[in-house]
Amino acid sequence: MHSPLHQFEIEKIFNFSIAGVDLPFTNSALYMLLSVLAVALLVFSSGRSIEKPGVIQVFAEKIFGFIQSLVEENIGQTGQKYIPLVFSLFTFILFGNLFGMIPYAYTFTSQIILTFALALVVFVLITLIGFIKHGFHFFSYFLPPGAPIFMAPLLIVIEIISFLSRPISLSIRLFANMMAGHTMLKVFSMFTISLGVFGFSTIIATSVLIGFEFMIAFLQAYVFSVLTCLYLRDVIELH
Amino acid sequence: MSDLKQRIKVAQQKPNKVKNDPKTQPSFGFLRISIDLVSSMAVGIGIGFFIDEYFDTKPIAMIVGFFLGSISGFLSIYRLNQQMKKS
Repeated sequence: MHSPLHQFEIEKIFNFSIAGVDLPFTNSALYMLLSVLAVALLVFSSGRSIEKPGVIQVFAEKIFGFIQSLVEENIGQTGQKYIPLVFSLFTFILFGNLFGMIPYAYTFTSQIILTFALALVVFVLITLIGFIKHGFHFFSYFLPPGAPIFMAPLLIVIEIISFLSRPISLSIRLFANMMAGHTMLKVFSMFTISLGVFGFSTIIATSVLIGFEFMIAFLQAYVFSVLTCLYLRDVIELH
Repeated sequence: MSDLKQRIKVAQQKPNKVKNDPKTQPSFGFLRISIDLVSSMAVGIGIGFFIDEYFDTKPIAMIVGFFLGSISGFLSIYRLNQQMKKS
């Protein structure tokens, strides 16, 4: 029997190298590619027909409407141009989580390097948008309004730490939830064999946990996009 | 036909209802609190650790960073609490 952590091992499917740099195509890359293809399918199937929308088109447009209302609620009307960013982040993470729920599939969102890269994209983007929108006035973000000036050295350091902690908390939240959920599922299903006759109790528990995992898959993609919206609003409005 | 019209009306009114109700706007503070606290502390300690490595002042900057990171973590929890109270 494999260990509960065996499912997170990265395996090479075939080797591939460009100009002496090794870029092996792994199982993680395969599911990322599948997820990107699913997102592309959503994008290209939306807006096809008005009279007879297919199932995929309705699904894609529902997700788009959901993201649109999310962005409008959290950023406001000025946030319209960030809808593509939030949409692609949400759908990519959602499909990654959901493909991971297929037995024998690989959950690429359980790799911290991937979630950290996604969070870093968001972090670099919000910093750039802050600088482009406000210029050097952006640095006033690090001093809360109405704070006494003699407290400034302490407050600025604290605010910078909390600003830098954003990509880390974003990435760790997604990675930890996915990894913990899948490990827990595996451990519980291993109990089924070792308990023998009483294994049926863990079968019930595992079925409940699988439903719970589906909820987590949606919720974590949603939380990631909500937080992206909140951070964007923070730098757009500057207090 | 009139049934369909009524159903369209109800369907059109639904999204507006959700938008205007502040209670349905989730902040998911309860999911964020633990990791926000830990990550702020980690960043504080990490910055302190690298300052220590660079200036060779072994434990001092790390201890200061730990306290600053903790303050920053608790501040973010306080802000989340204020947000959750509002919504």
